[in-house]
Amino acid sequence: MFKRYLLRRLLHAVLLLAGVSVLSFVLLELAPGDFLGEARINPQLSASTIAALQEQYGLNQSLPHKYLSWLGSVTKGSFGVSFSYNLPVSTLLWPRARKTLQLTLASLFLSWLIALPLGVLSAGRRGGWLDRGTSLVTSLLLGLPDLVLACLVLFLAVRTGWFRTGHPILPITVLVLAALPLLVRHVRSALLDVAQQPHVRAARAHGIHGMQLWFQWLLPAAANPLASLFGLSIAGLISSSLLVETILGWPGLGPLFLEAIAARDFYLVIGPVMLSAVFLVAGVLIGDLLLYLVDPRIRTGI
Amino acid sequence: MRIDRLAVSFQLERGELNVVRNLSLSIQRGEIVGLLGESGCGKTTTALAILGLLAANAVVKGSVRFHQTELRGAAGRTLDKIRGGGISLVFQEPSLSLNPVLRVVNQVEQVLKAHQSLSVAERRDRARNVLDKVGLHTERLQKSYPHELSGGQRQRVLIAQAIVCDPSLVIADEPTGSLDAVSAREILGLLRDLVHRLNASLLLITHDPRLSATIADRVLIMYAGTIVESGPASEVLRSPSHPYTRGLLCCLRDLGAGVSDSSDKHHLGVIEGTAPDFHSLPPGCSFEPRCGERTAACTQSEPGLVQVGSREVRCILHAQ
Amino acid sequence: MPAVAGVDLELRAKHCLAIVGASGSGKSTLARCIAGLEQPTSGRIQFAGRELHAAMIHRRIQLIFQDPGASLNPRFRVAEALEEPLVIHGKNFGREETVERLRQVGLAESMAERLTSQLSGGQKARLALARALAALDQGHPNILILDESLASLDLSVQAQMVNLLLDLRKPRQLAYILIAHDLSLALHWAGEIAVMYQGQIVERNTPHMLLADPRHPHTKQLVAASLEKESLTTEGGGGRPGV
Repeated sequence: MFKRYLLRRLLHAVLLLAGVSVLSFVLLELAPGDFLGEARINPQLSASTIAALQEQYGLNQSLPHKYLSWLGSVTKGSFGVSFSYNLPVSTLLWPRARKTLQLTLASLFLSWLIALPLGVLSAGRRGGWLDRGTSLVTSLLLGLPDLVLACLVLFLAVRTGWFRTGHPILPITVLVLAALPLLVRHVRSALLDVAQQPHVRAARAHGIHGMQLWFQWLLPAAANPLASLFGLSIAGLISSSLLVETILGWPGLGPLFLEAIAARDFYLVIGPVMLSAVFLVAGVLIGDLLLYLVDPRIRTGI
Repeated sequence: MRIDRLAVSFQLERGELNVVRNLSLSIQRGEIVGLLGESGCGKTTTALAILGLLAANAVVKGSVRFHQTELRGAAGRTLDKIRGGGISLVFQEPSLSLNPVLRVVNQVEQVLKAHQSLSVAERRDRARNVLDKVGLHTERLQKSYPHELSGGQRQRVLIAQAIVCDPSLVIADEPTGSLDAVSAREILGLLRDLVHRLNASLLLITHDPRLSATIADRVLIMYAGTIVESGPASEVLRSPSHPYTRGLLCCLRDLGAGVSDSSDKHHLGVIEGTAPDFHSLPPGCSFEPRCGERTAACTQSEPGLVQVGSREVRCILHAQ
Repeated sequence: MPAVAGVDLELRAKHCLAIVGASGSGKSTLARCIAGLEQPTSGRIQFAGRELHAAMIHRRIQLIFQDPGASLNPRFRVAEALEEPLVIHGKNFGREETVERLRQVGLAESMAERLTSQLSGGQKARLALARALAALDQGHPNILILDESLASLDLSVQAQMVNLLLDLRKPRQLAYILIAHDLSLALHWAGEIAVMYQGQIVERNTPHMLLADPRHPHTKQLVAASLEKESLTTEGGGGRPGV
């Protein structure tokens, strides 16, 4: 039963990724300009040199041809070649991806660690000082774009000198602060919702209270929206930190990606896009699997 | 249990809404009492008020004494012990009142866990025992999840949860509302048997007089938040005094009597009008606008509950 | 798994047929097939000698669900709830016609501007009835199917609804199919009762005969369960009790 469900979802995932790759290729191709754009307006390079370079980089090939040869490189593990660095994309991607994941995994862990109790306490003492205080802070944070947050943190770091600018604590702080507001609000509203439900009231009528009520009734009932939320958190592991990395100088995927876009380094752009898509699909899948494990109704196919 | 002048009102944006007004009743050990009233008369609110389960904007006045303890305004800890342990409540919608992620035997165990300290094995034993008593005999059924059971089976689980800790009062709020006629009969019989075996009392809340007639010793008729008639079930239901009770039973009587094959069906006796809006209750007797026997005096003030023989009636016509 | 297995039924104009059975007997599935909401795997349903096709069905046969209030959009006003669905059928009601239709089911004009969520159970049932009637073609015999629609209502409200339906029968040329799990109402106003059990009709008779001489074991169960037999009605049956 479960195996079939899993296999089906994996198949969907593969098809989805294939679709994303095709779409990315098409869209990038349609975007104006290519890697040699600057070279072409350089008076020192002759037309024949340009033509030779075009040939070398495979820019003359048709789109389907490019796609298929890219697929070939995927199976070999190289994911195409970066024009700027003259290296296989994979050798550039993995170390950077690792750095990015260091940040995002740490902030995932921390933000959930903070958001869960905060959300629970806010819901538990609705309207109390903690609830209202949290609400105020989260509203403020929501209003601040990541960009501004990053600059603020950078500013503080430089001013106080507590951390050197390359220290991971800086981007992690920004990411956590950026993720907290939505998480806390979702946890809070999921719990408030659950507390209203008839089966919780019925449990209270049976005298069930305290920890027992929380762990057997409230949290499992809230698990449904929270599992999906967790899945989305995972989905954003690659993509959420790009801007922050660039501002705070963290050598993750972000700076590499932005650079590649600016240079129209085709395969180096496709690489992170696909990686991000993989995480997105994995995240959603994990969310659904968690739900499957937690809710027996889904298991028996209701 | 003795309830004295219970009043429940809700604080709303547009003011205060009085849902239960001046309600008094008492239940002796071993009695089955039917609380009869139509939708919106406040019967479920009364049940919730007894156990302190109303929303935060509810204001409860009056007294609810259970054994020697005052429940109204009691501390959370006291109430937690009594809920399920002294007084238990069987809710209306079985499909909504069970925890969807726990197996039913676990749900019964959880109630035990909240009230008694038993070992895991003892708990499992007692849970299975009580599930057996309510008619869920096989291990397969006992280990099912709520969504795998039928409506009647879910209701049995709720009942099991309600009796597992030997309460002395069971409050059943429309326990057969969502069930078909055959299951309804079985569940009623089950409730009566269980309650007798435990030497407990049952407060059966329903809008269907036939259910009360089946198992109740005494019956209380509720209208617009207060009791309008009460007395031994057989008497009240066979020869009702209050105009509302009479109207209610009239609809039923016609249903029972009108079994005819002619294509020209006669109409049922009805109570004209609709249930009162709590925002705008009439001055005087709350049933007056719909009463076929009203007099001018009925609009003056709400009549008090007067003892007439073995019953109590809230009607000017019976006050003398 | 067969929900309905081999059912033959006949309904004459302006008659009332009740289909009674326990949960899972297939009666709701049968009702939905008749109303065109589900396709039968085999067999035919004919109306006035002809097979009904999709466009026609909803103008001649309407189904009112259990818990009539649940099919009403809580954000609509009563008048909108009545007019809105009919736009699909190409009928456009003016305000006057809407008010008249509401009046026919016992809803006062002042109700027209209320939100459906503010209505009581009985009022919602009346509104659902008005909607169903509005969708049916006038001047032709039509069928109204009530799928346990009255069961959730208070008894006094049920009585009012039954009277209303009886009143509407001749003027609107309605035949009723009443689906229920309980014999009580059926005994009162059905001309014929069909008992369903596990997808089949196991007994069919007039109410009188069914009570007097139930044959099939399930019918006997239903008769026993129908609390009509309780001592409640021993006071000489019929007639109002005096003071």
